[in-house]
Amino acid sequence: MAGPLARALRERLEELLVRPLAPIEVAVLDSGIDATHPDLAPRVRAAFAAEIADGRASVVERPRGCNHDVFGHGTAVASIVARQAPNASIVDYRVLNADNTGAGDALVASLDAAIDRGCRVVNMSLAARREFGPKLLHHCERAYRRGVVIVAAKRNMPLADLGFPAEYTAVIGVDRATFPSLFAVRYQPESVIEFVGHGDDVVVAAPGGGYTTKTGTSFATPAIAGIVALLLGAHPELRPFEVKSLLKALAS
Amino acid sequence: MTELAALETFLAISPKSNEEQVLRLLIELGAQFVGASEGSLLVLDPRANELVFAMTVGGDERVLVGQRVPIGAGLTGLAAATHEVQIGAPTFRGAWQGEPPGEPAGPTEPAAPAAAGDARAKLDARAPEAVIAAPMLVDDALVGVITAVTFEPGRRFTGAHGELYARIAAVAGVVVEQQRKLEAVGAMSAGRPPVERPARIDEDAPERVIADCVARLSRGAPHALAHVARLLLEIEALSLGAAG
Repeated sequence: MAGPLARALRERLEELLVRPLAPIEVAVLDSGIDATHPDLAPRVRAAFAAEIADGRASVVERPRGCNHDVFGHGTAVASIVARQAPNASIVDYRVLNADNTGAGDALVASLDAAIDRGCRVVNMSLAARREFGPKLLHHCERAYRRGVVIVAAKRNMPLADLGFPAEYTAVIGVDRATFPSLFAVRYQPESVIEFVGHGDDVVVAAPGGGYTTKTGTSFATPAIAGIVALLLGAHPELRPFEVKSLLKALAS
Repeated sequence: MTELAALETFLAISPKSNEEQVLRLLIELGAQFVGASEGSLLVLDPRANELVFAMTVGGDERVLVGQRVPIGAGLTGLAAATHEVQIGAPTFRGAWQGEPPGEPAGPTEPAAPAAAGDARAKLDARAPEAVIAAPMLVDDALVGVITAVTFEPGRRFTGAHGELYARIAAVAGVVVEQQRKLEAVGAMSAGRPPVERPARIDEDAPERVIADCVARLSRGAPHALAHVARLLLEIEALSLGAAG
């Protein structure tokens, strides 16, 4: 976007971002989070895990302040959100198991729980299989109507689809590129995945207190989720479509 | 376990077959294209829910082949668990805690790779500097992972490298899929049931796994049932004897 409107929006955005920020809960649906990591210990407000019993998924609260990460992925993702948005409190929903079973049902149940809890942002650095598409769509629409902004990753791997829920219009779908900053955003109106964030060689937290670098849409997604948390912190009344519009205004 | 044994056991790919040569070529080309020191193919052992190094180019086959990586461990295991390409570097120590949000100051004190780093690091005294791991899928089911590793200090793989590896892994998946179809066609023409890849054992329902297995054997190889019966009786005697 160019011209006076874009300029006015950017100026307004800069003004918004220097205002005191309201606390915003960001749900991270992933492999769990190492809440003992120094970057995350003060930021993880609650932890849950989806459990599958008799073919049904339920979301169970887990002790706080522990390492719940089974793969290291969720810790990496959460550390980007924490770094981007100082007003973000992170809620850990573990949806991936060590043997990668039940992920679809766990994802849907956890998304539902995050919406009901009142999390304003949901980060999903993962893509569900196509068969969970219709179910996920229903829950993404519910989130949209409740004012919850879902930020979801495009698949890294070229398959038949770009990834669910990233393809849905009720969701902010995110692709990755190399940008100079985690705050950089690109808008691509011609694509099903409308937004692009910095996701190359990103320094992230690793379970156990160290750091590592990762590349992929999984890491561009929390960069955008962090910006969304800042926008909502400045103006909690924003609706998901308004957040998209502001991201578009912010985009290069 | 040798390279060819792993390929044959878990992918039904015979030694010196065209499929084995194509897979090797894909691993070699991939490593060359991205400038990796080493490229490997790991196959899924569904019973153990682990990956097994089956083929390596540029690395020491005597050390690597047969080594196992649990699903979820390191970038290689993560690629298997998530069915997504993973690109990254081993874990290092460094701190920017307390600094305002923004770009980190970056690593300050490199350390040996931790458990969260790539499991490949444990197998070699040299620590990998960067890793790509791409899952090989057949009908959305994992059959293995191909990896590229570099030991060059400061070297990183890019997203474009990862996309290339995703495509190489997709082609490798097609090779495996074709081999399975050929195997099934060959079995049908020979009048025997197609070989079923070992399913993952559901630890909560081993009775069902045993019953299913016995049912399949009854249909396809009834002569083997006597061996199964003897084996089960021996296990029973050992287990109950030990318990008693």
